[in-house]
Amino acid sequence: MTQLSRNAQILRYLMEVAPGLGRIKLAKFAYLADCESYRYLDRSISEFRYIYDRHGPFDRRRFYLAKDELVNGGYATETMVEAGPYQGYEFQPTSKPVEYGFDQAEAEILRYVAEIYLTHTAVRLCDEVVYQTPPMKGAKVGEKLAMDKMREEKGDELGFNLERLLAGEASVEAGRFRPLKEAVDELRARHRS
Amino acid sequence: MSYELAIAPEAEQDLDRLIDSLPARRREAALDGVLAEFEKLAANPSLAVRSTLGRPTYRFSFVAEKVHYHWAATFKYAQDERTIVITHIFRVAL
Repeated sequence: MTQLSRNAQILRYLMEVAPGLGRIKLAKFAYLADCESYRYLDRSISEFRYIYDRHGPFDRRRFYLAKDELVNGGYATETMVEAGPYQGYEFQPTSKPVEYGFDQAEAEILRYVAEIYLTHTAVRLCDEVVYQTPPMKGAKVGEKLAMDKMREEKGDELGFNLERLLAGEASVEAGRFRPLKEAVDELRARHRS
Repeated sequence: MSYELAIAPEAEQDLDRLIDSLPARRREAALDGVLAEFEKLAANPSLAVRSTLGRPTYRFSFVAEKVHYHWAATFKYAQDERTIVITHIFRVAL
């Protein structure tokens, strides 16, 4: 199986969760997933390097490279659509299988972003979500975006940890849990001794 | 109707580490405070909000020896739909 580039994998994964995405939303979903990833994992998922483009956060060169890799490789189709007076493009994943290299936390973030913002129009997505992200606030057109502004909530080793949350959820799915009172009583005894 | 309360092993470890980070004299009161807050959640799960990647997240505060602590927990409903299982407990900024 051909290994897709990291950025192409991300676009294809987003298309699978949200088939029929337009170009703007596809690019913005990738950006938002990177924002969330910086927030929760302290790193980006993609290899996009965002600048404040004319239409918001975008890495034009790497986005089109990844998009072309998918379309030319038969992993996605791109269809021109009429949207009122404008022309747009919609993307659909094909049935060609892809071997994704994401860990569970990265996949969870990508899925979450695609599901939560699926019903937003591109305009609403940009105005209400994308332009309100910390890297976009105060940035100027043409500037490289400081994605590490999303890191503001990190730094506490007893703070939120996505991998631990997912591990806890996996335990629940597997039926591994016990009454809270029992666990607290045990903790109480341990901390008394 | 109040839900039953349960905890996943990973969240037990979280709670252990959080309690361990407190001065020894505050630990008992902290455990009482946490338990009381989770009982409030069990009585009214709508106290949680859907944040942290869409997970129900309950932010709570308690006082131990006049010191205010602010923590949060994520949870899932167990298959029996009568039990809330805590999946992660963590410290939050005010």
